[in-house]
Amino acid sequence: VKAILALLGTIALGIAVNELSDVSPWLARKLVTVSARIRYGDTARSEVRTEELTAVIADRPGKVLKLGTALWFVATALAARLSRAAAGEAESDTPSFLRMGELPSELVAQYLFPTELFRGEWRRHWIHLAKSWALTLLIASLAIPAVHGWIKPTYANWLTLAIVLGGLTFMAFRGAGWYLNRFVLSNRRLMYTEGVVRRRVGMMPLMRVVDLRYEQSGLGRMLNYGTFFLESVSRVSMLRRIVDLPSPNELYLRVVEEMYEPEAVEARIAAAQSDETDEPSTATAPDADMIVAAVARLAAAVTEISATLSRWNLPVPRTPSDGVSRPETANDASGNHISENHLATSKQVTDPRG
Amino acid sequence: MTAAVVDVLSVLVQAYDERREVNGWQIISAARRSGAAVYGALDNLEDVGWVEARWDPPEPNPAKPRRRLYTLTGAAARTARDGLAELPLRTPRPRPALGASLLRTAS
Repeated sequence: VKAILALLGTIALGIAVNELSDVSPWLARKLVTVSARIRYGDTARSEVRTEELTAVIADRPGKVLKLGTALWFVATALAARLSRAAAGEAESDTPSFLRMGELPSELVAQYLFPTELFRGEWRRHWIHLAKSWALTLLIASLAIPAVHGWIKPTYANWLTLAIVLGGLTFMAFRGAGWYLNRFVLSNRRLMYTEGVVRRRVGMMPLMRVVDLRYEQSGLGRMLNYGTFFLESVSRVSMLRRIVDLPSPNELYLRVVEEMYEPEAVEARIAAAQSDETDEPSTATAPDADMIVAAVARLAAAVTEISATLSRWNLPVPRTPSDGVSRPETANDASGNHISENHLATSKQVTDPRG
Repeated sequence: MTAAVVDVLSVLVQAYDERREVNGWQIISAARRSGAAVYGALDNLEDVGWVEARWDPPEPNPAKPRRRLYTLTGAAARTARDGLAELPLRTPRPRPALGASLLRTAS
């Protein structure tokens, strides 16, 4: 019996692999068109790229590789769209982290001594807040059913209310904490301030930084954030590990340049300021409205993406019925007529205008 | 200008010199960049008017998606060639052979 089962298993596996290699080019074509919709929205370029990327996927050799490429297109398109939404449509050519000669916000200015030169301040990447909120929501969504399962109904509703209110308060607190956190660079030191009620201020002289490194996870590289590790001469430091800082490589270079070439930084700031003399200063301290607006834009982008995708409904996968009996077409170049056949059917079903 | 844009530009400049037009997949494989990076670069280059594109074949065919062929504009090709010449020499991105260290005996 075991031998028969093993045999059946092998056959099933073979069929599955065969089906997968047949379905994956089709799926890849679907995914690249989805990625174009996500990335370009309803612009004219979206139409162009939808058709063009389908052709690119057809050119790309290797059935499973097609799928991988397509998945990467979708992932980067999602990341690009969401980060564009969170940042707002580009107001300035230079990204905020590269603008020079700005003034410190009042929050930070109170911690700087008069003669030191402020170089920049950064808030943690929004993913930091997003992680914390997601965790809170997860715990609350697990706790509420648990409360209803185990506690008398009379008390359960009150407890649910308490959990909801507590969760919202906690999220608001975390939001305020994220808003007030600053990582500061001056010509003398690295500084970190945090805390809503209990306030913590830490610093490390640039002279005493013996090692500086940063790490980026996969998601971090897509959304451009990373964790900084600072080794100093002193053993205990609040600045040893700073998670989720935005644009880590630019930040890294800024810190390193400040350590090795402070004169170059000075020269660049002077040049930037002489450029800006005829323009009104655009350096404004970030305010709470910006965060609210960014969150609102993010939410709007998510609904917009889901709307674009649902408006253009995805057809059900049509498994090729002759998948097993078909002559071997693993070599993509030789199976040209078959891929054309695929294209014909897929084009027919996916055309948004029917 | 990002490294991906530089890679895409150098592919386009080479194609321009050889009087060829290149399609998306040719750029991706020649530049050895991910498709998403190449198309991000092409978007930017199109926005600033450095590249021109046309469909191949020109008229739409419902049965087969058309490729899109890219060329640099004449002025952009000159600017890009000068710009690329000023960059430090870029070695081709290395692809280490798989398992080479296993086969090699320690000396």
